[in-house]
Amino acid sequence: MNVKECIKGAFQQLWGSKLRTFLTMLGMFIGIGSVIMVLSVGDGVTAMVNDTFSDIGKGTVTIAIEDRRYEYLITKDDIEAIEGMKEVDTAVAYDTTVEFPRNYKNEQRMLQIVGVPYNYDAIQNIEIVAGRMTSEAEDRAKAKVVVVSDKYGPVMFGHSSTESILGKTIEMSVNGYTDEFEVIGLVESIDFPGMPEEQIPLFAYMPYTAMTQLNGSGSQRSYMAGVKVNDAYDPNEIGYQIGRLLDKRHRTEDNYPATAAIQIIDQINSVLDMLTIFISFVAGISLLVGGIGIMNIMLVTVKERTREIGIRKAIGATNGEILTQFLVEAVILTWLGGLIGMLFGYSGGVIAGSLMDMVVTLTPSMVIFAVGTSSFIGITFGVYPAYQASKLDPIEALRYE
Amino acid sequence: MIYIEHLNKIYRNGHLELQALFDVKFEVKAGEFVSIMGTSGSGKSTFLQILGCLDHSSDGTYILDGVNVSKIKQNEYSRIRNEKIGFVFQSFNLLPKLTILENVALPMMYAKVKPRERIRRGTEALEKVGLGNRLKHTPNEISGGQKQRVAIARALVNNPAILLADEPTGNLDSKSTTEIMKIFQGLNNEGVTIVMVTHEPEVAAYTKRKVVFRDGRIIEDIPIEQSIIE
Repeated sequence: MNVKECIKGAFQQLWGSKLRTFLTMLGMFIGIGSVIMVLSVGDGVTAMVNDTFSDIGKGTVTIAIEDRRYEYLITKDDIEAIEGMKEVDTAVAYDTTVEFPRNYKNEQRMLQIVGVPYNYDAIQNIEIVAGRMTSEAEDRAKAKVVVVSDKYGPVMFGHSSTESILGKTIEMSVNGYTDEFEVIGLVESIDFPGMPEEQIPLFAYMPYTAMTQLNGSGSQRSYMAGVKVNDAYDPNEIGYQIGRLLDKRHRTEDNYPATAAIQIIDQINSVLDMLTIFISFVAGISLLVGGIGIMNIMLVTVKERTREIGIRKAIGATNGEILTQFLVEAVILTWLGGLIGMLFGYSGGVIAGSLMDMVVTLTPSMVIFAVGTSSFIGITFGVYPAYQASKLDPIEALRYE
Repeated sequence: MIYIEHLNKIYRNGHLELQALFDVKFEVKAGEFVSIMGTSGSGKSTFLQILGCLDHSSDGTYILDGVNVSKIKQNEYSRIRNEKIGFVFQSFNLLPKLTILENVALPMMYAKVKPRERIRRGTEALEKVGLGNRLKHTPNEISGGQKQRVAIARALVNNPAILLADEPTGNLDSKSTTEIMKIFQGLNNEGVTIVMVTHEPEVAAYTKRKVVFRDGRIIEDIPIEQSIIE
């Protein structure tokens, strides 16, 4: 009796009692299915998070001042000092504010206005979809030009085309001061999957000099700095060092907390990991219950088929062959449950993924997980009933009615 | 073919002991057709179980086809049953979910015969008992006499040293009984060694030798001169 025949026999047996087979598989099915679904969606979310943040750049560190007294603000000399560090590629001073202008429907929309230097794209990857970014000459001239999100026209003015705003002059308000700016470029909106259109944050980038000019501070000092740390170094560590450098220059203590983009990614990933662990725990209980169900049904099967076991032994089946027969049957049962669970779990993941507008993947490691867990459960919970079957005394078994 | 000497069988249950067989001496030569008779409780069934390597004697010698079975470990009995013994039971003991050809092929599966060869030999064995046209039927679709013929085909398919039959006609009507006994006689004429347990003298009359058990001992062992030969 070879394994192939064992498998064929097991399928015949299981097919012979379809409802029982289906009900027995249910525990496996739910357990494996939910783990696969969570893993595939989780992978999708992780990929999405990493993708979103790679735009910002994992090596970017943002420094925001706590105590905003004038003498503590970041100066040009500060920026040069930071750039003087060997671990730093580029440092820029910038400022940002959040405004809530009303659109053509008189609804308030969130708009983040960022005052940037011309080389801002060194610390943040800005995806220009039309027009251009601000220039060094415009920085010097404090030019009233602005680059806005490509959804800006449709959202604020009800334009049907994203590009019809290009070249137009629009009003911008910063801290209550309003002026007119010419739209010179469009950037891709940061579009979080599944986010309703009215919640999409709008961005506007203008020369830093123009922004300070507008809000009246007129200063060359800034509240924020962005630093691109060389990829060879740990952004968390370098961010801390920059904070200390600025503290020293301004004689302050912990006034310049640095946040590395990678920290945010790590935080999101750790939340995802915890979620995965939790669901896996629930799925593990489901698998345990499923395994006990399989053991139970296999014990019943062995009892029911006592006579068959007696006959097989009488005509020459060894204990090992009987054990294999029933063990294979249990493992096939769990494999079927696992396989169907995997397909349903993945389908569920794909449906969830399409709702959240992201790509859901079924990785080889998930397949290995499903097959491995199924085999493990099948063997663990199938071995005892199979052992019982193998130990039956053929004389007793043949007498069994 | 079979040589048994000083064979004892004692059943133990806790400190209770029951001796089923006492110092049995028994010999079967190749080509014999032996019937074993006796009332229930005479020890004949126990004896057949030991002959068939389903059970182990308490002590004594049992040599089957040159193999000293009494010296073999119990977990190797499966191989002996598979290679040297063909069983025919009163209640047929076919597997209901398999076709009759699959039933007949089963002992060859455990003997690790190749699938194609199994089908060939199984078909041949079924043709020999007159069921060559029923290969794909299941046991539920055929009569009692036909089931027993399937069981005989299954018993013979591995060319065993000996065919053991336990009340093979006990569940059959008289017409089927005659049919089955004729098959046994035919096989015996071809040289198959058969040992059959029965309590019916009419059935024993088909055999060539009669052995009678009583209280765990052989009390009679005589040749049957006028076997029914058709």
